[in-house]
Amino acid sequence: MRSVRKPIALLLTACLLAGVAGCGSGSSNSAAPSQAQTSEASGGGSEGPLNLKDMKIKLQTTYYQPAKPSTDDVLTPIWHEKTKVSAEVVDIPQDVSVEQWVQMQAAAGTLPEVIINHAIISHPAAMKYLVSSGKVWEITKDMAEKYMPNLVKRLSQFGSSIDLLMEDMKYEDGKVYYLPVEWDAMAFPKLQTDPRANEWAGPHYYTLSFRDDILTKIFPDAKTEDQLKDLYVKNGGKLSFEEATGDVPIKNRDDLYNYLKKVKALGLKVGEKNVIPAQLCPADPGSIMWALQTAYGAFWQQEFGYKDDQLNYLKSLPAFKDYVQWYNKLFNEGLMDPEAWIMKSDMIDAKAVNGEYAVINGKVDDARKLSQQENRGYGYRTLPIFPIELDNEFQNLTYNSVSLYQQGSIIFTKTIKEEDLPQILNWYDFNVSEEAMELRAWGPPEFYTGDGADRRFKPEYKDLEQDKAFGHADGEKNGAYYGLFNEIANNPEVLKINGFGYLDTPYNVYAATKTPSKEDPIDNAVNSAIRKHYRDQMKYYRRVGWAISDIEGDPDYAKAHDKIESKEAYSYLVNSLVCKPEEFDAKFKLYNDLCYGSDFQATLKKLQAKWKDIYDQHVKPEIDKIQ
Amino acid sequence: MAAFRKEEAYGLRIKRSAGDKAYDTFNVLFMLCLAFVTVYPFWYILVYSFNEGRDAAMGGLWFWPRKWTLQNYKYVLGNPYITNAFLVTIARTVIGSIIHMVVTGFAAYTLMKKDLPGRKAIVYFYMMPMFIGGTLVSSYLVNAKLGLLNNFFVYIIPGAFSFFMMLVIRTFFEGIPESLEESAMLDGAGYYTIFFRIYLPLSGPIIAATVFFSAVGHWLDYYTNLLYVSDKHLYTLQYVLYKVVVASETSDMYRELQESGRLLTLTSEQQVTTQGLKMATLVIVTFPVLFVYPFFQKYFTKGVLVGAVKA
Amino acid sequence: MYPLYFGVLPSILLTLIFSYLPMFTNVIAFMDYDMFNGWLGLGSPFVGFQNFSFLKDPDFYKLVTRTLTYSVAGLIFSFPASLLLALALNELRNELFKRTIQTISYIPHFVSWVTVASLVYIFLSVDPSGLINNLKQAMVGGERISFMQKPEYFLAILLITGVWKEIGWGTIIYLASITSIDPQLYEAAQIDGAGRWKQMLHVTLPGIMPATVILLIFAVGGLFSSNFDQIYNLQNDVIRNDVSTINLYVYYKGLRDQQYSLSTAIGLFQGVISFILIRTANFISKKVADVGFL
Repeated sequence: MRSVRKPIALLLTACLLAGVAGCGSGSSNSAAPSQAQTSEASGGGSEGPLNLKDMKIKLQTTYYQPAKPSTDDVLTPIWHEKTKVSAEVVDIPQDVSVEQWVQMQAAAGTLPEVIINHAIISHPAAMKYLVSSGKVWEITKDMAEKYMPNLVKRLSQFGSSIDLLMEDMKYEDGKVYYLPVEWDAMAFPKLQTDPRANEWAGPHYYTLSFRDDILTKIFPDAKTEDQLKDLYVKNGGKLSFEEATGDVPIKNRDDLYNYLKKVKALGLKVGEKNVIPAQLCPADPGSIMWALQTAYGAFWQQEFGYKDDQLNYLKSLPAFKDYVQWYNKLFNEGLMDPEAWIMKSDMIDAKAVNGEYAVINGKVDDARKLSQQENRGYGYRTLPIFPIELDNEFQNLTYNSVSLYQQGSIIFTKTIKEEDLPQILNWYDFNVSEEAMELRAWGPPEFYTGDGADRRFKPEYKDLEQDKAFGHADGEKNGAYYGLFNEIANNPEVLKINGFGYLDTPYNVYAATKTPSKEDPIDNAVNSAIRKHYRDQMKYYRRVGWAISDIEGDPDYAKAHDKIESKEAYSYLVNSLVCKPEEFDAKFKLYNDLCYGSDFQATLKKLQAKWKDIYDQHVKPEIDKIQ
Repeated sequence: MAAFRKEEAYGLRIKRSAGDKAYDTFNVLFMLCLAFVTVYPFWYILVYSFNEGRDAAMGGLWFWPRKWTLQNYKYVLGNPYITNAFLVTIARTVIGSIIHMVVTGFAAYTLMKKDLPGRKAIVYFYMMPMFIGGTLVSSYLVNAKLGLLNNFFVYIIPGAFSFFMMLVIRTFFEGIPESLEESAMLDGAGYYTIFFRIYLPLSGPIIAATVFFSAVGHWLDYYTNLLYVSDKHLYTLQYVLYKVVVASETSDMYRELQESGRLLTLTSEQQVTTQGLKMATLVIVTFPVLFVYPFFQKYFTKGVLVGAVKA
Repeated sequence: MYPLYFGVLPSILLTLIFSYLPMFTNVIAFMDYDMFNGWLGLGSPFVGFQNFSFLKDPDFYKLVTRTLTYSVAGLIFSFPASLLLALALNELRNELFKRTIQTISYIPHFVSWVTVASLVYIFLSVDPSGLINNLKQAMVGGERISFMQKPEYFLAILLITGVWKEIGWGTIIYLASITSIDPQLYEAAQIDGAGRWKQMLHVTLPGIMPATVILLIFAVGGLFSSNFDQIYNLQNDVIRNDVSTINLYVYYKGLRDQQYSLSTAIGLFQGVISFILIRTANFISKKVADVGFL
């Protein structure tokens, strides 16, 4: 045996050791991952133009990455040239909790240079650990003015300022450690009324999709998708809220329940299989919290309902129990898939695409496509899941606080040496700049002609135009091909900074001159209509003197929240969703007692008192100003 | 199988009774059933991987692809790191298995001697970590301080000794007649000469099994990479494939959020589903092992002890 | 004698560095752990055996019972299965057929539990495309059952998938052992008039006894834990609370709920029990079969 294996083994070993030694030496010295290969002596240079040297950094982020790299990446070379920083993503291993990871990395000295991870930055313990062990750079206004001129400029361009940013991004010790990577357009006075910022603003309304042949069978006056598209074209490319939703009388849970019963009574089939009336949310029970978002009259994607000076915890209210019981009723009467709560997502997709659901939450474009291809004769109508009053029993959403602080943030760890920090900040700054936004939206200048509202892609970039301007990414040389991803994916080299940025995106520019056609995705128009309907009723005020984390970051609440989000709690919840109706009360009680027992109630009382103070002191005056 | 072949070699005829024949038939039938049951799910995976993702998810795909495609494989293998990862994995499999065999084999040989002072203590020493483990954090720290992070040797060194395999090999060694060793020592051979000249050659089957287990372990491992290696040029094959699947899952997930009302964008990657990728990944990982095993298997058919004592 | 010790030197060093060194974090089982107390939180106050109060919790014993049920059932079914299969494979006359079957039989070992679970859900679905339900309808009739939502089927599913996955792989060690049995023993048995069955009983089985015993002892040592991957992937939200085992409990407490002290304490408890089990098994096997490794 050995005589056969030996030569092969030796040969392989020799080749591979040679190759591997080449790799190993580059990073052999220390466990610290930063490799600054100096190409020129780094002088002091903090005044005057920056001395940029080639730098590779490690970046910990959960912003999505494309599995398939782009074929002709045009942005990365530009980024490298402008910033000389190249970034590689480091993952947090699956079964490691955020604070364990932070501890591990800090102790071993292998903290990545840059972290863009909401889970870490907003995690009270993890962030505190990083700050208290001195592993994070503090960002000062001075630094911002010296190294991040673009950031300063754009803030004031939209009516805000670097001072306001510094105020909003303060950590509990009064210093600023993180900078935003996401922005709320409404936090900028000049964007609040800019129509081009329309797409970002307004509540995130979820919708249900209805198979329109079944819909019109039960409600003969309702329009089919096709008919709605006709109306859309006739209107010149838009729909009003009334047009988009008024023809279907499903406005609350009872309406939906009655509709589903009628669907079941129809007894339709797809091939051998019965049509299942509803697939209302993904198979994860946590999703019932947000999938039917306004299912009982509250916008309760949030855990807390702020009704003027009252604080409600939506899931501990009796209304929640009614909601869960409603689901239980649906399940027991066969109006849902019998395996709705255990199905793997690909099975749900498959059934949705096959047309086996009369009402689905999400994922209908593939179904629509297939339906067209196979001439099934139906499309899907998308409807908001119950229009609500913004000022309702549980919350008052007419007045919304905004801040420059958002969930997405970036921190710079002390793995970055002091002399290298300006370059990293410069890298961040370039990513926030208008130039970068323009590159992301349109690509390099050779891709287009014209300026402002006259800008158009050149003819050879037809596929790209279809993708970026109209949302049809089917062409081969689409955004992904050139590395100009739309919202979906991200290139860590070309750091994605969301939201406010470039107002003259292709989508906006083309929209002005575009002829509406029935090829357009109708859901865009419907969703715009819904969003506008609510946006018009909302008012915004700046959050001053308090932060959301005052309530939602409270340590006692964090403990309670862990329990509520625990797998045990979800199991109890699911059991109450699938049990027989007569067992419901008992099963739900298990869930309720675990999550909302006396400990929780005490914490809630504390928070309610806190909120009342905050409201009286900070919120009411602001609201009065904008009445 | 050694026994029967040897008998034929010695010229003995075996009479097969009726009972024997019946048993043989039953055995063969049973094996066929077993083979079917074991192979069918893998066949399903194979078929799924050559089928268009969306179509496959509709179910009913039992024996043959409905919509044949190589998309899944193109997608997975199109990753630029695949070739490098493949080489890294081969390197670690070969080097790692050899080192493992050497370290574990020597330990087994040493502990075979019943009169070795401290023998029991050493065995206990090896055994205790089975009951008390370290955590992720502490293991990470140890590896970091040793400079094993982002180092090829993190794949080789920490796993170079296996207590369980040591016991199995030792048991094997103990089955080799002591008379062989005694006569060699009378001829003046030292401990290690005996090891290389007598014990190793006679342990073909168990060495083959050990190396095979070790090689498969290296081939399938992605966890070491996940925890300790972030440099792309040291990625292993399994890890790259794992990332492809995870990335696809996250972008699937993101697409769901998309449809909740923001700008709708459809990618042309639509036909490729995560399930399809997972299946293709599995096939890519498993096939090489299936081809390599028969090479080891031939060591399981030699009657190595025949005539050894006589010699 | 001394040169001989060089043989164990590398493995002792490796064990010391990579297994013993990381053990230091186990002290948190005896602390009221807070990550901010000192380096890695190891400055946290000592609280003795406070974290072991789970031993008084009746719910914990439910978990223990369930874990033991799964392990013992697995031992009864899975362990002999590989052995019997190895013996049966050994009896095959056609070399090529034997090799093929053997190679095929261990393919499931390479399929990760994630994929196996997906397959199980597909096959056991109550949907019209669910294979098992279709077979059941054809043979026995009655209602279609949503197997994965009923905790009473879980043990059967665990056993069947467990055997399916590992039976082939488990034969490798046995086959290696069988081939090293001196053929002369078979000759001698034949000359004494033993048929195949007797040969198996008196030559083959004793020949593989040492390896079998070691495997058995290790299996007994693992009675207090369970196959985490298998259960984690096969479970779902509906049955989770009814099928959870100690390992999963530790996982959820440690990872999701960040109760590191508790999860470490339970881990230590499991370790102690394992140790006792192995010692006992080894002792018994020494008395009964004169084979043991300690």
